Amino acid sequence: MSDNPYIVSEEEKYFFDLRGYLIFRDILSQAEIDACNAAIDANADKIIAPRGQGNLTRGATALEGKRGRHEMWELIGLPSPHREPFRDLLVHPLVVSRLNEFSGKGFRLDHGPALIESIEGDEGHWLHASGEPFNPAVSYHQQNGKIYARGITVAWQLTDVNAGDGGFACVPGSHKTAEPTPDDLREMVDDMGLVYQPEMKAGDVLFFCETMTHGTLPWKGKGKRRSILYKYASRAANRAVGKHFTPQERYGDWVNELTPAQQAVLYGPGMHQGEKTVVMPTLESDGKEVTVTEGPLKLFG
Amino acid sequence: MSNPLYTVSEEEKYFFDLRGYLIIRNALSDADLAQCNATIDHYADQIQTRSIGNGGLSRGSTALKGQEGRRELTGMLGWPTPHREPFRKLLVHPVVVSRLNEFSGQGFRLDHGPLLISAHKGAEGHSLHGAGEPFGQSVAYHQQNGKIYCRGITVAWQLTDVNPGDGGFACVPGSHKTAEPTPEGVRSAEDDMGLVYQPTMKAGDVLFFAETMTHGTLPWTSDGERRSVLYKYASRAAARAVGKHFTPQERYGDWVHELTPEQQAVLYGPGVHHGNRLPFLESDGQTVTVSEKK
Repeated sequence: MSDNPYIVSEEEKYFFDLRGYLIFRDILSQAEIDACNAAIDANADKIIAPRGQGNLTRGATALEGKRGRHEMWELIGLPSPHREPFRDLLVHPLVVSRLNEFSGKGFRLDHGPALIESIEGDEGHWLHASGEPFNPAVSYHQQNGKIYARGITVAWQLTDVNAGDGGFACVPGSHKTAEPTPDDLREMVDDMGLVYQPEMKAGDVLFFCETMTHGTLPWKGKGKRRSILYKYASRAANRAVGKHFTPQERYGDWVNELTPAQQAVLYGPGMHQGEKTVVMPTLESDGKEVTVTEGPLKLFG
Repeated sequence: MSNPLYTVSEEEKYFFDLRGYLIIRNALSDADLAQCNATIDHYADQIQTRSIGNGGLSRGSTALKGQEGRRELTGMLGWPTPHREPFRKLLVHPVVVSRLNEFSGQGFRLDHGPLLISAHKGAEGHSLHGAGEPFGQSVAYHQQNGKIYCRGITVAWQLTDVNPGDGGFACVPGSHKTAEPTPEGVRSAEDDMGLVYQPTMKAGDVLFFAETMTHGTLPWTSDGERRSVLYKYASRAAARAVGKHFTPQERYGDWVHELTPEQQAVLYGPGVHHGNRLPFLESDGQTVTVSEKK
């Protein structure tokens, strides 16, 4: 790795291309870690389990726990001075240099930041994503010495993650697989020795390619898990749909004149709403006419 | 190709994957065709002719130069009724929906357009653009396990005939998959290496092409007018043009003024056609700075 934490080295590019993630050690000062943790403590009432228990395990018994995942959103909108540490992280020099290299200049915050917090016994998260089926929102490509990662999540660690603690886990290299992921691996019934849980210290920062298979193991650490996730996208990619999504929001009320089929192709870009699948009208052509189907977006299934 | 008009055949998928474009013949009825042309005639005084100054769209190529610029007309979907109806109909024509569901995936969307491209005899061409190298994130092409993932497809309805040697749309078949840089002689058509192809089309045909395939326009040499209406579609997660809600203020509200210029820079909306409105960030090892908009 580079001696200078702000310069992207050839070794870093090799590691990220091969494994799909990259960890930088000791990036935040103790004062910065303390400021982030204090801001969270001061707003602890905003930490919630938005999906309840069992939603993220998808029935995988190996990932079950006593409590659902706890999150806090809108960190950059907290009252001052609590928001400032999270606004600083948004464009931290280390992030800018890596994302300029891996996603290209003009990268953008797609959604987040969000705190993920766990206490001992919290459930895990089903392992999701991979190179197959190909996902246009977050796909990974390397060509002629240049990396094109459409979706990168940057996860700042505010507490230690020791060996066996659980938390973030991934299948290194899976961002480039063209074979389907076995269900038993996704559910951790048989991980085939492929699932890796990295050890990290408070102040480390993890970059991972969203198309790499990843998820969460149940938290076994004695202390709290606290990780702040910023979800970035390359310039032409869209992951979450954002506010201006419906035809009316994008173009104005005149679109009400259009047929439902015509309106269906005027929605904004994006694949999900937060963590939820997009519900929107999609079109079918039966050979004679176009019909509209309303429901969760079916992509390449 | 054994293509029933509305069904995507295996032969069509093979052809599109291999060549980067596909032409469906006789997709428009004579009545639809006549209505589109009559409507454009009605708005003929609003057609704008592009300047050929500063190299024009031919970018100084001797092979692409002409005596006048290409002619353009936009705004069809918002015209007063009944003039807008034929173009709204084309927006979700059954031929389009079936192909885009297959090639770009369900939930495909109109990214920008429609745009009429018209030309009179002697109009200049357009420098060839697009290619698999460098990799274009907004319109990239990928095929995997029998499935095509094409982020940007332009659908060009032909309202007049294009005969051999007429000029107009031209492309380098297969170039959507190249990983080698395109020679300048091909882009300018001054030395096209025998690779540039100008398809013959009839009024009523519709051309689908992958935006990342190298394509452009040859000078128009026909006595008849060229008329092609282009709808620019994108797959669900791709953004080509930035659209209306682009700046941090437009997307999130005025509270973003509290943020530094560097923080605001990562809150712009998606899209690569931003008209030099996007600030880029640099990290020099100590601090993050905003570079010139480009």
